[in-house]
Amino acid sequence: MNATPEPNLSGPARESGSDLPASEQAKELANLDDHNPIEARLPLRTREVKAPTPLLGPGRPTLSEDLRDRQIQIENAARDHGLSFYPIVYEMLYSHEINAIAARDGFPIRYPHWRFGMEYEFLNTGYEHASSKIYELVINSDPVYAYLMASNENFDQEFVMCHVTGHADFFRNNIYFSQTNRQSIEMMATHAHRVAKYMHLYGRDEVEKVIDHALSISDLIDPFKMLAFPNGNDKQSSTMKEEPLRGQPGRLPVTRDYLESFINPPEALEAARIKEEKLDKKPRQFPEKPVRDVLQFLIENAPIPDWQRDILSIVREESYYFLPQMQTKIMNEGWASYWHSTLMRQEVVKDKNQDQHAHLHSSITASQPPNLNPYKIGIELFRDIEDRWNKGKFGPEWEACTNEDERKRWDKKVGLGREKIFEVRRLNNDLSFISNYLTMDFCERHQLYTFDQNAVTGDYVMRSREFEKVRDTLIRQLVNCGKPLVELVDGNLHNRGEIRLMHHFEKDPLRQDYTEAVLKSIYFFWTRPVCIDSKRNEVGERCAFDQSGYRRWKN
Amino acid sequence: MDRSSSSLNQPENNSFHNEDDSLADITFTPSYMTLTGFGIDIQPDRARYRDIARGKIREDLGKYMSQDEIIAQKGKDIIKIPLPRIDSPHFQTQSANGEGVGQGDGEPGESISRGKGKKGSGSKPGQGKGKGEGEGEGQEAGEGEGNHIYEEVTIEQFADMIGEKLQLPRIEPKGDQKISSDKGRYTTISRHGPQALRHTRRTFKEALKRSLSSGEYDPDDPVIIPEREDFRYKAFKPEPRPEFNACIIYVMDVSYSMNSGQKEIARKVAFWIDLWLQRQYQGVERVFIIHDEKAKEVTEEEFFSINANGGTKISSAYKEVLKVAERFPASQWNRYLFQFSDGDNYDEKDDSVCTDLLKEQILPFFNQVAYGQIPFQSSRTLPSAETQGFYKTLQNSFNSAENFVQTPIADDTKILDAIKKFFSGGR
Repeated sequence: MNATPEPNLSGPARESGSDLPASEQAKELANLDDHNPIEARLPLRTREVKAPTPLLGPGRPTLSEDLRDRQIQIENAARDHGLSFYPIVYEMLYSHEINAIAARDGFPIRYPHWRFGMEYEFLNTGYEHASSKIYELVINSDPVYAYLMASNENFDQEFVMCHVTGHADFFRNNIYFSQTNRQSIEMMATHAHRVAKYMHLYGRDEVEKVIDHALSISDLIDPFKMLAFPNGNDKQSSTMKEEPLRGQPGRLPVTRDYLESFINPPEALEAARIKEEKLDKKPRQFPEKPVRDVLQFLIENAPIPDWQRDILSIVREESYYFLPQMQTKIMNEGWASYWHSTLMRQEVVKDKNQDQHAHLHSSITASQPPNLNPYKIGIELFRDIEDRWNKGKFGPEWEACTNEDERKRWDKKVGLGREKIFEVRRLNNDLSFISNYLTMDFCERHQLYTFDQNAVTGDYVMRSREFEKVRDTLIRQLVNCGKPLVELVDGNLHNRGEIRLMHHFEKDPLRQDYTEAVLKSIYFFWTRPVCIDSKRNEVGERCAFDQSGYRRWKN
Repeated sequence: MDRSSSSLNQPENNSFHNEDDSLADITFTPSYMTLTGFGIDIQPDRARYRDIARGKIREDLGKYMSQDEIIAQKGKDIIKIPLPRIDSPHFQTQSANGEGVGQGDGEPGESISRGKGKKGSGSKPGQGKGKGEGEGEGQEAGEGEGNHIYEEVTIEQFADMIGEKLQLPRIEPKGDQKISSDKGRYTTISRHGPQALRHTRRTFKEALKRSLSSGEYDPDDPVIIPEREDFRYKAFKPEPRPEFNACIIYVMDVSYSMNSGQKEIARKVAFWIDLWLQRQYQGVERVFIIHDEKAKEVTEEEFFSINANGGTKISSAYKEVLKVAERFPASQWNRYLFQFSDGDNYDEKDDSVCTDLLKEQILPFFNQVAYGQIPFQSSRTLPSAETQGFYKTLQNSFNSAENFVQTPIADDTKILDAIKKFFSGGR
């Protein structure tokens, strides 16, 4: 079966597994999974699949029969449209519980730490002031766990379920999530237990301090690692390469003597030997290449006790887990909004509920100046793509056309819209989503603009409606999730085991107070001086932290 | 809500006491979770956060001392302190919080929304947890504008926090009465108390009385076991503590050269003075005197709002102070004088009248006299205007006086220093 199915103009596009390679499809069928169209049509509870264990223990409010039926209907309708997802389990929570879960990013168990307490406090006020009602909470896992507020009306619950289904499909199918650990509940629980054990052994304050330091550097990971080395086969490891066997550079193992001259021809051995000599002469760089995964570097090389090493690896594992979610916020919300809108319209909304649906939908996608609502731009962009690919508004002909009227009237009736958005949701993250599909047309239609903040008054002031500026501002915020690109370039600076980081300067200098704090945290683990090179006002600047504290000077 | 014992905090489960430190291969199935009920209680995390936030407040106390939000709660028994959000530091560019992309009507150059002068929450679609969590009404997850959480403290706790931070010594009030301690000897008996203060003989006596009257007592097998009602405990009668009272006389220069900004500062300083002295004394009376060339006793509101626009004759204020002080005889009252002015007195003749009055009639009979100079802020203000004029005069005369304190209060940020100066003498 080829990768892109023929456009099916006579009915809804069936995507169930059809864009996966054959081997994958076979696996799917063997698993009697959601991808099997026959199985998917049966009400879930009659399937021969073991029901997932409820997450939060017995004795809790459960989904009513009614809602359970609705869930099945919604999910079947979703599958009809081509969505696919791991089984979804809904947990009912009271309002005070939902804030506790939300504070923990959707997990019932996290390691003990004050930041979850803080999130809880702030979420609690929000609810009391009725200024923010958490509508849906769903996590990337298998099975997918999602939470419903017991106090919501059935109509709201259906709304949430449609939205959750969209998210579940996104988590399953977007490639940036393909390497994430779907046993995430267990992962968080293991982390929690390890941290608790360390607190028991070494004292809460000490462990908390280490976690705080680790959190300051939790974003110093390599965003490309997950996709580049799917099985953790990270050949870019930063430790010193092992010394090759002396006298046998580049020699490959041989099973039979007579194969020796074929496997290890003299020319190859000679070339390898010469290369070795060259390498010996050059002073080794440590790490050999600049490293973005500073956490990994510290885990492997910092002179710290094992338990602190473990804390670093816990923080690192969680960073990698959450990374794709940070990279796809616009798309994910947009996709979920698109599907709750589609599913609600066709499935749920009988006449009397029309208003309620419209109200809920508009309140979620309303603009909140000056913020750009990620829900809104995501869904609008997906709709725009669908519209364009239905009408054929893409490709060289379209690009070449400059006639306004012709562009407005353009409609080749190609009908590829649905298929295209499925493909888009599979292959992109926010950065490529915006880069590839944000058009001048779209910006004008949706009245997008750039703004910045008056340093004195704090007021936000609109700057420009120009397409390039809007797009560039968005892209700037999306590249590396809006964070400065920092690499560890030298682990043996001055040949004294000092660390040198490099900030790849773009437009703005680093924020001083935070820089000091982060360097201090790295110093805590490294115990030798740490510095970072950057720029300020067009002049090079080095910030360093060592035993005498923080310094900053022109470099 | 069922409160499962948080098995993480008391690791009685076998898995923790493994000799093998590596827990990497432990796998937890969802069923494990059901054993522990609803996850792990979030209360400890909350408590820990509040502890840390309170610590931060103590660190940044100077900032809080000039905040209107605190001062506006004057006179209440419970003060609500807004707790700060504590962000984890990360490498970040400096204008990270300024720019963004928005959607809607308007023209370039227009102001879109009022910021609060703090870090803005522009569109940062790539940041934040993005945990698939949605918040209705279109708010960006986790950044509720204007959300504050509060820590409630009683006025006493708050005053103690200030005192601790500023390391203010407790005031030893003057007075004829000796201070006697609350706890002397255990002179009476009570029905309630701690086990350590059990009065054994009395307890058994009561038990015996009870068992006799109820007919339980058996002379052949005389066993007495006290019951709860029988228990008696040693107790003390708190001896009446002599009341110490303070009288605070506030003096404000309302001449032409004192404007509303300076009065604001004075008002804030006065809030902390009141707070601290109320903590130290059982009863505090306050008197407010304003003056320009003439002095007058007024109410508190008038004190902080009247603009008299006259010239300045500080001696008139001192005379009025003496008049008022007659109502609070020194034998029964601890008297304080707090004076605020911009230091621009009428002339040197008046200056010497002032110093005489202070030296002869005021200082010897007051616990403490304090003077804060709040200079008028303008582009024409000379540098260190806060230490010129009347300030200098006083300095020359009373540099070594024990119960006289003077301090410049240049602006809002100096309020903390002023309070510290005022009360560091322990008077």
